[in-house]
Formats: sequence, structure tokens, C-alpha cells
Amino acid sequence: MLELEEEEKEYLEKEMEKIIDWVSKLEELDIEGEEVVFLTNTPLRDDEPEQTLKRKDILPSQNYDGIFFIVPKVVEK
Amino acid sequence: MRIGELSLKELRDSIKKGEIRCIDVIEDYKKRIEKFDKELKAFITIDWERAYQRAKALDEEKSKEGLIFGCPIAIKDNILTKGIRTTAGSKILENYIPPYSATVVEKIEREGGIIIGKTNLDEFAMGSSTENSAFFPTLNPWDTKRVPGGSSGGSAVAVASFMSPASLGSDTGGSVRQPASFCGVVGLKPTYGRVSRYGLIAFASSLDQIGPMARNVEDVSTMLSIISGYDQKDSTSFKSPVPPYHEKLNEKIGSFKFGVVKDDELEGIDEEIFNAYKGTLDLMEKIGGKKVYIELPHLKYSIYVYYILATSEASSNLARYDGIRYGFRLEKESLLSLYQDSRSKGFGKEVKRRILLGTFSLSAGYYRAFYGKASIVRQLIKNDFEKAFKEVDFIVLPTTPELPFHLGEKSEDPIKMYLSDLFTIPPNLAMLPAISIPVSLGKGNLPIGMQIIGNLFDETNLLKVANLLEKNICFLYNELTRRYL
Repeated sequence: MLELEEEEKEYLEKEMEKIIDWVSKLEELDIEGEEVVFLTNTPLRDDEPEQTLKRKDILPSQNYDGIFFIVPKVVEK
Repeated sequence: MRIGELSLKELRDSIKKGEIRCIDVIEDYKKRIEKFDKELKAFITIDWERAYQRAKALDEEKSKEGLIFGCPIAIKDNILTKGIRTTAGSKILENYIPPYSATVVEKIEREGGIIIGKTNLDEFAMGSSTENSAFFPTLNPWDTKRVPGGSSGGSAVAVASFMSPASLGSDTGGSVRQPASFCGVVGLKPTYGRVSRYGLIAFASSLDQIGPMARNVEDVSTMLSIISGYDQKDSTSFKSPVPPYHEKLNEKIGSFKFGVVKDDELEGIDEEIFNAYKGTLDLMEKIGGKKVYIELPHLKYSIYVYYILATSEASSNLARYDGIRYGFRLEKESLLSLYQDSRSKGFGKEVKRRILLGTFSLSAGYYRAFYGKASIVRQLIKNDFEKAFKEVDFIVLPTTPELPFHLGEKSEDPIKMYLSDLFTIPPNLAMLPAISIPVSLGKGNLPIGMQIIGNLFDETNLLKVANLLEKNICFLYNELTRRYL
């Protein structure tokens, strides 16, 4: 999610158009019948408990009250 | 003996023999960094206290075991270092202190390495000049009006200007090799899966790979021996034994075949680069190689495929920077504006451009024509290389189409900047290992690098041939030695 300023919108629109036009070079290539081979052989580890990072070490000190992350109120009365 | 000139092996051996202490090494490097980094700006963060403490602790060790015992190593600032700020060159992570270290950092420390500092980069590794850093641009030590390349510009400059004997960068489309070429050092992108990506801040996960940089092939090999290997924490890392690359370097290579494309595929490149390329091909023949012309019919589509796939993956990977869990946060009335404003103010121009392009390529109406098609063409490029490697052992290409350019020269034209990665992108798409080694100096004493691409997981032979080539090249480093050592 990005919020762009007016002047940003203006130049990004132009640039995006140029870049999309540029990468559209791929259109000239006929790929009828071709397929992608996705990587599927990623290994799994044994399901055994082990010590990884400790919860208290990885949670931030700011915007966190010990149980929840703190955000602006999202529910109206 | 000048400490700054010593290779990793020489440094380690001197320390082991008791000729110098780790603390002397750090002291020596600190002097140079303080003197020259004010201008070159290779580093974002340096924690001297930590480096000294580590050096002292190492000096107290009796056994002094470790492949790089006492050697300072610079780390690109998108690789996590526990307790040392890691910014990815972005305002959104300006104050981020990681709670853990990347696997590669742990491995370096296990072998006695001392993390000397975190090096500058284009924000989230998106760029080819290090000008996209949210903090400052890094300058090329050969000519400070020019860029050092990118995105691992800081890591390349640190090594070139004797501020670190070796460093780590990351390479998604050339980010190790292109700056290595621009700075006259050696840079390697290993096979995808050779090195764990755990703790590397993700840009495009199917292309990212961490790679070493140093002033010679031997040091790069030593670094690769250390950082390679399967890691349970990265399911794309590869389960195969790691040969001691640095020990195999001088083993006989015998006769070999190397592939080249027809000259018209290289149309438009700088004349000096073209001549250096031709010279390198002659040299490859001189050291026992047989030149074979190969066909890579889809090579010319690599750059378009790359900019669609890499931006798509980036748009997804960067969704985690939401201002909530870590990183830059702008307090707002509503949750929606907190997300929007934190991201919009936290990310720089190029990052936003790529998020937008990636989101577009993945969007319902355009997915087939962009992301879908690019994935298929990537496969065709991979197939081309697979076929070529049935006939040859290596493929030689220039690393960059041009000499290091001036600061600001391409900032206003993203496509011009993207073209800088023309020759480095294909190995990333095909997951192949590739090395850039400096071969000559062009006009204005600017370095020129050549790229050798190896077969999948064949770093052993790739490094062997690069080592042999290096021994037959007289690369003139005098200018930098005089200036910075």
C-alpha cells in the first residue's frame, strides 16, 4: 500500500508507462506450448522440537505491550 | 610488511605465527577507514568497540583456529548482524537492530572473522550505482566523480580501497559482479542455493544470492568455502557437500571448452570493453581453453524478464514493512493511514517504482501477459544455458556494457540504469554461478571486468579457471595502492 503525492504521481505515471512499454518487448516472443517448471523439491526437516530464537528477544520494545502490537483504534463504538 | 596488503591467508598465518595481533590488524584498518571513508563513504555503520572486543578475545585464544582468524570482513547492510544496526540502505529500517545474525555472518565468525562494518547499498539492493541509498552515495576509488556500481557498492569500495580484505555482497541481477567490475576487484555470485539466504533481507527470493568480494580469486574462494552449505533455515539452500574451494584452486584444470556468443549479440557495448573482452578470449585460449560458439537465443529477453520477475517478488517481499512490527512508523489517526504513510515516507523513489511495477505485473488483468509470460521465458533462458553447458565448461561475457559512469548520469532515466545489468542478469535467471575478475584498465584508469559463467554447482572449476586467468593478467593496481595504502 502506497500513498503518492501529486507530483510523484505525475512523474511515476510517465516513467511506469515507459518501463511497461520497454518490458513489453516480450510480446514479440511466441511461447505457445511452453511451460514453467517450478521448483518443488524443497526439503522438509524432521518434526522435532528445537531451540530457536526466544520470543522475548525478537519482539520489539516499542509498539508492543507484552501481548499485542499497538495500532490506532480500528473499531468504532 | 603492510597489513592492508595481506591476503586473508597471509593475515591469518601472520597472526597464527604471532607476528601480528588481531588488535594490530583492526588498528591498522581503522586508520585507513578514518582517513578515507569520509570521502568514499563505503560504510553506513561501524561498531569499533565491538570490533576491538572481538579482536581482543581472539588474541587471547590459544589455538587460533579458523580459516580467516583475525581477518576483518565488511558486510553489506542488507545482511543481518545481531546487535549491529542493519538498514538495507532504507529509511524504513534506519534504526533496526537485528535480534539474530544471518547464517553467513555466523559462519564467518566461527572461522575467526571480525565484522568490521556494514557497507552502503542501493535501498533494498535495488540499483546499479549505490546512489539509491537513503543515506548517501558511495564514490568510486578509481575516480571519485564516478559511481562504484551497485547495489553492493560499499562492499566493493571497502575492498578496493584497502578498508577491508574481503566483504560480502548480495547479487539478484548483478549486484556483486557489476560493482566488483567497476571497482577492479573480484566478485562471485554462487549457484542459487549454494549459500544460505537466512538473514539476508529479501529482495527477489528466487534470484537473491549472497556472494563474496576480494582483491584476488583465492580470497574469494576462501570466503565461498566458509559461507557455502545447506542450512535448515533456508529451504532453498542445497544439500550437497561443500568442497574446500580454496584448496582446489591450484589443481590442474587440463583442457576445457568455453562458450562465446556471436559478436552481434554484444552490439552497442563500449569499444574498450569489447576490446578487453576479445583480449580475454585470446587469453582463455592461451591457458588451454577451446573457444566454441554457442547459441543463447533467448538471452536478449533476460533484462525484460528480470525486471518483471524481480519487481513482482519485491512487491510481495516488501509488504512486510507496514510500520507495525518493526521499522519506521508514522503515528496516524487510522490504521490505514499509518500503513500508507509509514511506507510512502519510508521507501525511496526507486523502491516505490519497483513495488508499483511488480504490483502491476501481478495484478489480475495483467498477470498472464507479464508475470506469467516472464516466468515461461525465464525457463527458456534456463533451457538455453542447459543446452550450452552440454558442450562447454564455461561461458565468457563482459560483466558490464560500459565503464563506471558519472554520479547522477543515469539517475533520471531508470531504463538506462537497468541496462547496466544486461550481462549479469542471465546467470541469476538460470541460477548459475558467475564470477567477475578485473582484466585491464580503460581510459581514465578505470577498471574493466570480465565475467565467467560456470555450470550449476561447479564453483570448483569456475574458480580454478578464474585463478588461472588471473595469474596470466597483469592488472595494474598501483594507482589505488599509492592512494589508499
